[in-house]
Amino acid sequence: MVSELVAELHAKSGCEKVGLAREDFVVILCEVGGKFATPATSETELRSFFLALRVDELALARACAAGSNPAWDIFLTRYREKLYLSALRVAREDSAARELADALYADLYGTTLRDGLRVSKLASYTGRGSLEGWLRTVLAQEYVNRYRRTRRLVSLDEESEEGVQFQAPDPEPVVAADPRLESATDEALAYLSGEDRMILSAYFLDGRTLAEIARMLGVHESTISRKLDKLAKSVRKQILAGLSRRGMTRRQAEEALQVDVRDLNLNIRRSLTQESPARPFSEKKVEARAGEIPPVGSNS
Amino acid sequence: MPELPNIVRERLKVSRPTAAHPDPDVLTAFAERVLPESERAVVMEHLARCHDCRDILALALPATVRVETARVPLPARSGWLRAPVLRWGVVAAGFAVLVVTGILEYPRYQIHGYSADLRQEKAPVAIAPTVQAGRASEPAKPTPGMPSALALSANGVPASVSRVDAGSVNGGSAGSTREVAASAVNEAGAHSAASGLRGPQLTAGLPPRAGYVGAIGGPAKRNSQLSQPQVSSSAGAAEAQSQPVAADRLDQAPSQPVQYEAKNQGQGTGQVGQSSLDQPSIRQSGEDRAFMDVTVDKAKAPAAAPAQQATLLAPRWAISPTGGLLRSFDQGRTWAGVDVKATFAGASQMVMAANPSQKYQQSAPDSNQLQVQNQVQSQVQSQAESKTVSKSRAASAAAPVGSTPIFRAVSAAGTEIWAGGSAGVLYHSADGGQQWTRVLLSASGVFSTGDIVSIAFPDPQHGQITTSTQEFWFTTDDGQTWQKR
Repeated sequence: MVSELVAELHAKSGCEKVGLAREDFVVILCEVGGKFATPATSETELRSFFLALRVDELALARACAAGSNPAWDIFLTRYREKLYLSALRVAREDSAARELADALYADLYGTTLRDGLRVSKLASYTGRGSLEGWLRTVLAQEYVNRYRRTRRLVSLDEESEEGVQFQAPDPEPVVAADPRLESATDEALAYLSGEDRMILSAYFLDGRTLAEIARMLGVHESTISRKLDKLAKSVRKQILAGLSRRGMTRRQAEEALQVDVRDLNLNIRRSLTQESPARPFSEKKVEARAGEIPPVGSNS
Repeated sequence: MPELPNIVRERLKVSRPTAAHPDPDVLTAFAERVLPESERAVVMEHLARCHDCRDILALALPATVRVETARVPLPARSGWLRAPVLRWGVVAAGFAVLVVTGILEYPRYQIHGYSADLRQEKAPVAIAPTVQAGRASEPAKPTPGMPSALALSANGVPASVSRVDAGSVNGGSAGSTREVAASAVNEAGAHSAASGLRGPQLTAGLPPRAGYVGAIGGPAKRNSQLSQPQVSSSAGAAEAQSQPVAADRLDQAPSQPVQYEAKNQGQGTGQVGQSSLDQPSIRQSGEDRAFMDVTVDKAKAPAAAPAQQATLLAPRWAISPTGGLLRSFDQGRTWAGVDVKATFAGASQMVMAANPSQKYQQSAPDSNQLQVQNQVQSQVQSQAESKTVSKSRAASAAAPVGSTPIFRAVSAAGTEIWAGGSAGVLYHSADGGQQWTRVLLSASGVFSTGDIVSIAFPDPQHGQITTSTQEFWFTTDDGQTWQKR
């Protein structure tokens, strides 16, 4: 059965067109399967996993990573223009978009050598999603990492005035209006599913539009609109119920919710830095080189 | 805009992701909704806590074909509309109005349909004995004055009833009067046709769909037979002779839009039904009236349809991030996937050759071409095909087994849709996406297998296809033949 599956995948992949040998393709499949499979993975799940892979794009990407010229010809014809357009959408400015796209192409081509071998980012593509989508994601990742590095440079003077760079990151807010309110809120949020909290965070924290959130989740915009309405009401209701359980009257609970926490002595900026605690001053003085600051999504 | 207590925003901000950032592969698979549920839940939990990963996911979305709505705070609702009971009450009231309208209209539709069927069934049966009786006293040929004298009164009863009665039927019953009149109408109609007159009693009595279907062949015979009892009597040699004339009239029926044809072909019963494109009832009822009410002004009925057709026959087409084909009938507000394989036209698939002398073939290809086609498929499916393949096997060979086409380009001009994608997949629909035909581009026996990355039709006749292997195919005859540059 395994050989039939491999034969079927090999037939779909079009390896020969991109200059990838069958044996190399089988090795790639094993590598990809190894990343996904766990001891608990059943044979059916594994088979479904392999059948859902985009083996043609996987073969193309890995052939490019191996330096196959026919593969690169196909890759450039298909994706070069699309990548630039995606970069333009992300960076919103022509020169920045070109720089972003060119930098990514350099990573994809593999200008870095490790142990004498070219290291291409395409070697990390596993075919679970489309190659085009993967390229956009990598592009977006690169942009976010660059933006994070650049953002710290922009606010350097202001931060040095406040001495932020010398403080240890403190994820907890300094003072809450009432500790019961915090715990009731945490309890209400824990009751929500990941998707619900993601929608709330994307809308209220990130400022995303309903359409953007709908596209992120692959649902209709009206679904998100209805969900937001429902979630806002349900969270409020849960918090009030939690405050009642903690000994507050209904009126006290509603008053507690009305208090604007921003009026209190609370370091919002510290709370905003979720994944990127403030770096020492010296590190910010020079533009960060690739690899010094762990980018989002790397497993190193 | 829904309101969220500030404390909730603050607590959302301080939450930290518990797992490592997902790979670009996993994020892409998440965005394209191909992750298994368990893995999707893990990624969702991470996204709920990680602002950067949400940013990356949002930035990595493909360009949308829809216009994104700006985040504009909704105006505060007035007090009385805020109550959900009242809101749902308004919806329920609107639904009740629709139901009542439907209930009121449905019996009328049934009556019209029944009476039309009644005319259709009774005329051939009742005419025979009555006409024979009439002929016993009067010769069967029509009077010279009949064609010009024939006209229909407002109630649909031919005005010549009394004339026929007086001339041909002696002491006939009231019941037979109508049948005789019908016979007279039929005879007169035949003569009207022969003399070139087109009165409402003839053409309005014909179902427009029959005429239209007749014009393109195929089920024309069946529909013309269906319509014959309406036009001419089935009894007697004289009436039978009028049938070919009626058939000619079918061909001269004004053309109907393509969608209507597809609708009737799909149903195959000659009855007016609901098209998959959700044609409005206005057009349907107009044609039904043209069929059922012989006094309808035929000039009006078709005129109303094309204007609406122009609006209805303009779906939008797009390609999804996962290479699926999407169609929207509401100016891009909602999109639905189109499965070209579900509406695959079957064995009428053809091989498009670079040689212009080889025309677009709609019949089953000859055995040599089948062999070439099958050889290509055998590379993928590892199947050996004999020369004497049957139509059904050719159809299954033409459709790739077990693989969904991944589209990369689509071009739509009216009802002519061209969609192409990976590995040279190219589909064509001439009816707005109802049925699809797989097109294989080949030159000198070599099939094009490069990804189709661009399809452009600047005008209905001229088109160009570009592939990832830098092949350029062009046509100057609306896709009948393709040449490779």
